[in-house]
Amino acid sequence: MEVSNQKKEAYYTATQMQLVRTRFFGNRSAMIAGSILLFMIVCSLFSDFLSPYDPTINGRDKDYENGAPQVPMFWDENGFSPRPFLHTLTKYRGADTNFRWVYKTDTEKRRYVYFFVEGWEYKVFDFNINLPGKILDFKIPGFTFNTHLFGVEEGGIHIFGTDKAGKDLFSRTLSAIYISLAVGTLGVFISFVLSLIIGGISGYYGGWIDSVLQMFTDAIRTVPPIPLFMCLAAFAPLEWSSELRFFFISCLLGLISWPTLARRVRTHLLSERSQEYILAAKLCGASSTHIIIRHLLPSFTSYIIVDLVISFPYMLLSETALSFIGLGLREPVNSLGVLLQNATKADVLLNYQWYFIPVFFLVVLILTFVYVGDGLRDAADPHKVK
Amino acid sequence: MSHLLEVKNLDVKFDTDEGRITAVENISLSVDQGEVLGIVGESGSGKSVTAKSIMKLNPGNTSYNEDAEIILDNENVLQFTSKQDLKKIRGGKVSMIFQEPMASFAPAIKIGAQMVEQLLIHKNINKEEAKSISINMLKRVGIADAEKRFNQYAFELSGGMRQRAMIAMALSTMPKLLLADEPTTALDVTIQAQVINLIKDIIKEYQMGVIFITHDLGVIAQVADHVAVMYLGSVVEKGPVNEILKNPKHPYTKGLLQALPDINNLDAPLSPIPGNIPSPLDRPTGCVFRTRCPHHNPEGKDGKIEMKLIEVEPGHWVDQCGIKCGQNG
Amino acid sequence: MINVELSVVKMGDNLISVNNVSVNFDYQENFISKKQKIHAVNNINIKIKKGSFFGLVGESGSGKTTLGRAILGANKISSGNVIFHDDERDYDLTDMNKQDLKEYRKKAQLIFQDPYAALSPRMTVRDIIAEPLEVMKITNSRQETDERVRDIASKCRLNIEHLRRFPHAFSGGQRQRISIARALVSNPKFIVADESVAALDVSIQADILNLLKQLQTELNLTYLFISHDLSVVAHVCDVVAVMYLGHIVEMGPSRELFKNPKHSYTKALLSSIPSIDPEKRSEAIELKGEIPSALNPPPGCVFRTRCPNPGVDCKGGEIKMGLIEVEPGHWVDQCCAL
Repeated sequence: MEVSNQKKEAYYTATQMQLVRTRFFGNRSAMIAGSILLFMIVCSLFSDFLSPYDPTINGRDKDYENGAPQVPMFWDENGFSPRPFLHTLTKYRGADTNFRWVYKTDTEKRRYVYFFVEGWEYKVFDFNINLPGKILDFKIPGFTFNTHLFGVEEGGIHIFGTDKAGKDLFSRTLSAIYISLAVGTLGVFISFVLSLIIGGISGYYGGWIDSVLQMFTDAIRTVPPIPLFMCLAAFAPLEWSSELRFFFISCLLGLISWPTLARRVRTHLLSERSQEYILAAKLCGASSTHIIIRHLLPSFTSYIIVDLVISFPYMLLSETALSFIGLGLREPVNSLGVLLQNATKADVLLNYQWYFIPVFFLVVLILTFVYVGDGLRDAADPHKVK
Repeated sequence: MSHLLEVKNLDVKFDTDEGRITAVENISLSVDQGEVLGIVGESGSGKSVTAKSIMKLNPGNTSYNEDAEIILDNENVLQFTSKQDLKKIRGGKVSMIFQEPMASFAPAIKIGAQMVEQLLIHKNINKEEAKSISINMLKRVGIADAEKRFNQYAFELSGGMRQRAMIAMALSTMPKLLLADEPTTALDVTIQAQVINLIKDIIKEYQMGVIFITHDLGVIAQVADHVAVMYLGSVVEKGPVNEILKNPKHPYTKGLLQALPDINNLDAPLSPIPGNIPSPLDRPTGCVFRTRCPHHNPEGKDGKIEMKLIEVEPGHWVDQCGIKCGQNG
Repeated sequence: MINVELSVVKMGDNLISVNNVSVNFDYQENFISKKQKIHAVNNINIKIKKGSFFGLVGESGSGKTTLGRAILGANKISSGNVIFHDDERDYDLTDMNKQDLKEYRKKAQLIFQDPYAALSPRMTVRDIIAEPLEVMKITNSRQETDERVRDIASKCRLNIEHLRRFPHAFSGGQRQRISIARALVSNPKFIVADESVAALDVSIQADILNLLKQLQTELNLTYLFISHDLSVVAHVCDVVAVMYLGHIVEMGPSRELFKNPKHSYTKALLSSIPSIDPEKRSEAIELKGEIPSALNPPPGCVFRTRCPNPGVDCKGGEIKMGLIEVEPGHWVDQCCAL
């Protein structure tokens, strides 16, 4: 097979990053997972725009509590309509329903779905962070919008149904994904900085510094994470604001999970440090700084990116677990764990199955991270065997 | 006279990201019992791939051609798919020893346990018998304190001893054919000499056929009866070892001999073969050696001459391009 | 056919004097067992003349790599000293300040064995070759650097387009040429080639050896060539030292040494080389046993535990190791010389 000279030259002059990228793009499952993940992240960033209702208690629909999902239709017995619509519902209670509140559909009256409607107000890029101490208080007034992607004129449109208080589950799910990702990102960031420092010093210097730091790392690792989480989370006073709680939980996650990442950083450094081209640089009299910046850091960038992506699912799961027990984030802050907590009652299992929809999103989120991480690792590792 | 092993018209191709790579093209070889066939080649020559094909050890993306045949004991190995059949070739009738002895032994299991396991898979004996056969084999390959070594791990043995233990493990099932893939390359020269002597003794005693793969022509001269010289997946010359080394006809074989430093002839200059070995993605059509051949036959240089072995002397086969190019150059 | 003359370079005074050098490493199995010493290199005395191609031969565990790196200052010398006789002044490796070390680094360089591990996969060839210039601040501008890189690259037969590429585009032989170019870019006087052709195919080996010889005459270099391959050493080196377990057992002009080996170990080594002539089925002298551990070398002659014909006095280990000149320039350890 004759490969064109241009292609060959491109291969010869391609940097490692370009090669990794090409290999990643050739991996079908990773690309599919990556697109789904990207889609979910974008949706969560625009969660306020996409949600027809305010996810907090303010946006509740008193007339539609514990309501089933309402899926817009294009066609019913009265004919086809290019604009999707919903049927009206009326609350009804009677002897035939065992005196439970039930919703009856009125198929005559249609409510059309409109796009780019005006709805509740939301702010973008505003930060109102109130941490202990005056120094850490941020207050940036942001932009206020009130346009949403879709909505109806009267009644409500609840694609995923509503919960006990009437809060729209679709809006809640979107904002939950955003909060979970934000907590995860912050946790990964904290864990990354810590592990870079500790793992880096340990791996670069070796010797007794390495031994001492490794003993410390292992000590933290041996503490069982769930009881530790529970202990530390229980210390958080109830009167903390939700932002403070958010930061606190993220820091906790980062502080508990840095040992694994630190170990990886150290391993990469130790193996790279003994490479011959490092010795060649040393024999020229290169300083430690030069070696670190020019050789070591670029060499493990690809590995570290893989490690970071793979540690994301663990963060997500830890946060979900904490919130699920009730020790993590709480109302009014939404996270996937908080939503799952509502789904634990037998009542829900029997009657309000739509409460489980967030579970699907959690599973998809984690799976896509795992696939993308695997794809990155396969692309970065040139010694893989098919 | 039927051969112990006969390889006919073997093509091996790999499907990779970069396309279909031809690792081996149209190879035909044969080995008889009690005979050593040496396969000589540099990197990319396809010698390891050929050996692994005999045991069907090539990775999943390999494809063989339809009319290829590897006949061992009247059966075509390439057609084997069932576990029973594959067991026959892997460790049963055919055994393989590798370059890196550490790679043969699992690091966390004692050597003795691994040898016994191999015997139990292939022979119908009990553990006691397997243990005694293994210890005898270790003694036979010259390992002192065989009982003690039987209970040790691979890392506790030195390089030479590990290689001997690997030979013992390969021979314990009494294979008919032994494949040795660069078994002495990683060893010190004094240890290499001992291992070569050991292999020669064992061949004499057990009368098995051996395919000895190496890049070292000196080792070939000492061990092999017949030689096949491979370059970039094709056999360019083959024949009795005396003939090939004293009377080489193909320019590649001649080039190899000239590039070798000979300790008995310190005045001879070292002449490298010009150019580089082409990448397998860029395998030249026609004669694979034409990009580096010192002769200037225009037909050969353009790749118009197909590769085909011709018998120039009894038992001595040379690729036809290698003969024709010398005639006008 | 390329014909390269054997070194006709004028050999002058000593460039490197190695005086009674020993290199020991600390070894501790775990942190409660007692500290032990690995005697990697023991009491070595070598004089490397300017313009020579000095060969250091030995098997694994002989200490040749450790000695080579100690001469470059990459390993700490435990006792003895190494003096580099430069044109203006002498540098003593055991007594150098930082400035001296920097100067020495410019003049003495190393070529590695593994062409695949010695080049950083993330740097272009131009950057790899230019790195010593930038680190040692030899050039002042990018233009100057580029010029020097191109100059040395063409001497090593690398083209301009090769400079833009990354190491993954090259074969083993080409990578080794890049390694050589990197070692030579700072205009050194002394090069240590540590098993530089061991990982290469035979046809490429000859190419690299010829290149090294050519560069020696062009650039007035002195080589210390470390190898386990006696045939290669016999062809290219003019003086050879044979090492065993950290000691030199025989040293002399290469032709003399290979035609007339005096030490039992040298004789065993030479007999082990498989001959290309199939009719000469060589009878290798078998060495019994294993190489002793460097933690606990046998006292006296270290080779006596495996010597195929030890004398009466050798066995007890009373004869201490030391080189004796049995013929002009040909030194043998006294245990076998007597």
